[in-house]
Amino acid sequence: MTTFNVFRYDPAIDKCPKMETFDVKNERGMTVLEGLFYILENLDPTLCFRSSCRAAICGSCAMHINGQYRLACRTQIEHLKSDTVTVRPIAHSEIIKDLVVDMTNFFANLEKIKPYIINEGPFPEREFLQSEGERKGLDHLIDCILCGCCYGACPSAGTDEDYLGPHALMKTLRFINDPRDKGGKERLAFVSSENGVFRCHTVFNCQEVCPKDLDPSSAIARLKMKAVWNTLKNLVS
Amino acid sequence: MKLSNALSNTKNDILLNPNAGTFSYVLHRLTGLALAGYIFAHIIVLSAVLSGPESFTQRLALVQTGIFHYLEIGLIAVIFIHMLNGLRITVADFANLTRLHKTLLWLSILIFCAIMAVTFYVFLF
Amino acid sequence: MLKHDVLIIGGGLAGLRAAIEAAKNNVDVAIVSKIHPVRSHSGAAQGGINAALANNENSKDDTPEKHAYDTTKGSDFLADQDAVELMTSLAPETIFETDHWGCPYSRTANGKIAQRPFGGAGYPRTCYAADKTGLYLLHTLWEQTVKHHIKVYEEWMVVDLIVQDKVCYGVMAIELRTNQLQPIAAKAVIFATGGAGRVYGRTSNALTSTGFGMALPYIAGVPLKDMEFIQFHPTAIIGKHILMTEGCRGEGGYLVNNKGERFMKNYVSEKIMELAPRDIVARSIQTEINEGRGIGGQQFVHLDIRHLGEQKIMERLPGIRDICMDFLGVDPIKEPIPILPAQHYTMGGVAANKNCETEVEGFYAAGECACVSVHGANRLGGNSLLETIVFGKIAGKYAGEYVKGIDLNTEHSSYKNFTNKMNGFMNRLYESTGNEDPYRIKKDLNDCLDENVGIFRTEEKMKKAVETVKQLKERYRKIRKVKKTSSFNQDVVWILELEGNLLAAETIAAGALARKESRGSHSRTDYAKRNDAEWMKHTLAYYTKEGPRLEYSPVAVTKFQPEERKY
Repeated sequence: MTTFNVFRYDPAIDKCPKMETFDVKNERGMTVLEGLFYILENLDPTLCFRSSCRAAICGSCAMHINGQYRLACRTQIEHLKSDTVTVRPIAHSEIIKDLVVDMTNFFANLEKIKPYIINEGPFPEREFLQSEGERKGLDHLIDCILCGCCYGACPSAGTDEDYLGPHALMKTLRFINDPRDKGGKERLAFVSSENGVFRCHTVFNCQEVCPKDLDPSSAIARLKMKAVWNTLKNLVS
Repeated sequence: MKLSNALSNTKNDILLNPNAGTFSYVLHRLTGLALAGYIFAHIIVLSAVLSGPESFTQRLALVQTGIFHYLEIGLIAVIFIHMLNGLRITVADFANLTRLHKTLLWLSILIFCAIMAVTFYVFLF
Repeated sequence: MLKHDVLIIGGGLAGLRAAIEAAKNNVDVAIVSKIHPVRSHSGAAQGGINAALANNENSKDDTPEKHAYDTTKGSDFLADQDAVELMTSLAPETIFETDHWGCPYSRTANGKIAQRPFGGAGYPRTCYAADKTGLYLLHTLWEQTVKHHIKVYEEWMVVDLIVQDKVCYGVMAIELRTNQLQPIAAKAVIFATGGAGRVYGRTSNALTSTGFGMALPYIAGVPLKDMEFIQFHPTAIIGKHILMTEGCRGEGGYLVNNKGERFMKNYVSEKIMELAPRDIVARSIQTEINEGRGIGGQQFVHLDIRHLGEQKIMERLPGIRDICMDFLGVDPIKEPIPILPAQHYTMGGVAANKNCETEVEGFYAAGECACVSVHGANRLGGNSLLETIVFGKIAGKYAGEYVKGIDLNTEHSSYKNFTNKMNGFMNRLYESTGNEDPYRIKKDLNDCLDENVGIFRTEEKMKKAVETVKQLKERYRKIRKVKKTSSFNQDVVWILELEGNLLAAETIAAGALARKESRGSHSRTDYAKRNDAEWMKHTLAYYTKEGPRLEYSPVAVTKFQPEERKY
């Protein structure tokens, strides 16, 4: 048996959130997500959480589990080495119910950086030719599954909802690094702003919690460097 | 964002992310605030110079008693925590050593300990 | 009332591609999805997407026609060849388009899109982006919908299709955040809701792939085609049944039994080995396991990629390694991966023609939920991603053109009728006096299909499955009361989807029982041979209250006459 402490809050009924305790029959290899399903199916059908692929690729089930933001589907209970599993929703977003948060702001911030290739053509008849080296420049930057762990763990996002966030900044570098994209200057100017890279306080929480082991901190650092060089270049010329 | 919300978010973030980065972030803010406070105190002391050398000497003597002597050790600690951490994140950012931020933190702590050892030696012996 | 010209249900690859294409016609397009589009199961696709680009040095003389032949042969000649030819001929340009939109395909040394060998294909023609092709494609297409400002109803669940007199008027949907039920009027509706994998317990599919999107048109009178053809992917990890891409074998991985023997040589020619089509590899693995040659006599064999070396694994199969480490604690660089076959894909689906049109006017279907029949009795790896973007595009195009001649009348009686009907249904859920546990029913259904309509099928077992599903449908009518909440009622969502599960299951079991032959993924021990004279035809399942009514339709044959399927 494992004890689950689950964050419960229904804004329509509850005045304030509470933690509720459930006893979950723990099988070997059981993940936290399966534990939550056990509660939903056997103990309390009103419990709310998001889930989809259960294979750590869709990014639905990001939550705060025993001291860290993680994907519930990827976290095995026995690996937590604890008799209790404490589950909370992602921070910095309004709670819709229980573990489900409103990610509108998260995605709105992403949409601000124009998350698509800026290139109106003309396009080659076949694919763009891209060297293996150019393609390597996109490695890891493209692996983000937009789960929101980094955004929830970032203290800068907690004090400024207009801060673009690690996810959006990493996406920006992904496009700047892509030779197919023609919006590099515009993108750099946009993220060199107060709510862009310079709102980052270099806390490294995004890197620490990323369930795909990516490094948004490094992406932001590289953007900062580009922004500084760009400004210096403009000053000189 | 309302200040109260921002503060409560920050409090939660600190509690929910017990990482090395959070620890240095918190120290950086606190030492930053302390240094800002010190600057004001410093200016108040020095401003006595406007009313002539005598009042300056008098004001200076006020802060050269024992308790202030010990507080100066604290001041040095605060300055170096802030400075070393500032250097650490600058290096991490501009040399793209983000994956080494924990090593850099240990390095800063090491340097800090050395500096404080010297400080204690100078101030107490 | 909410209204749009073209309404697309499902935010996966097919849905997104349809939306982008429909929007080009200057019509009002919206997507309704029960999860955010980037959460869709398309993102879990790993290996790649097929097109005869001839980029690989071993595929210089590859052509769309050869791609069509391989696909048809892979389908055990049940695919409609006109549709297959259409898909393979449009494949290159559709893929180039996604490259222009920024999809980060892996590259060859001379800068072209890289291609790897896949099962059942004569040439290396599977374009890949490491082992996360689906994820990258999904993000790329979602980015395009952002660019084109396409409205997305995120976390809205479609619960009914408004069809009256064979014309589609829109859908009934619940906004999960507010639990409000309302009609969304539309001139054309495109369903791109994905597969029905969760009918099975042992499946590689997402929890959201329940088959509900197949059940709604089925109830509305659109037949489901070829539902008995269920693909079992040969290599899913034990326990969690997460997919290990066919790319593992495409890059050179081995399948090994308890004697350390590459057993595929006993089933196919030495030239093909692990790269036979999925149905054959899955049957071979299952045979090994049944005959006691599983590792340690257990229910799995090994997928061994250690000899590829660390560099190749890290470069081309990094996601596979992550999954193994996370879910098995096995590092495939150092240890072989324990795998077994698991349900992976529904070849069947909503019967649609090659323009994605269905029997209901204004109602289209594309992607896995549809059966245009390009996969026939067995899908080749890498063809499903291709199907989503090719037929998503076609559905978007035809729906976009269709709506131009249509007037939308929001006063139409159907909206009121369906609102009343659905409200009645919901109230029955909230006031039920039954005591059946929906999750117990789901579990029983999963167990029943795993056991009785699996890789090897017999008359007796399938009869049992048909009977059990009938009983489960009875039990579903006596389900326990559902608690009303003000937002995000997951219990209601799962219970509604359970109906989709049950209806998809009944068509699968009934279609399988009726088909007295072995073809592609449908393999009967009592009728072990393919029987073209009697069974080279599509199964069409029509909804009736008593259970599916089966009819049959001919297969379109153009260039390739049926021949014995040998690899």
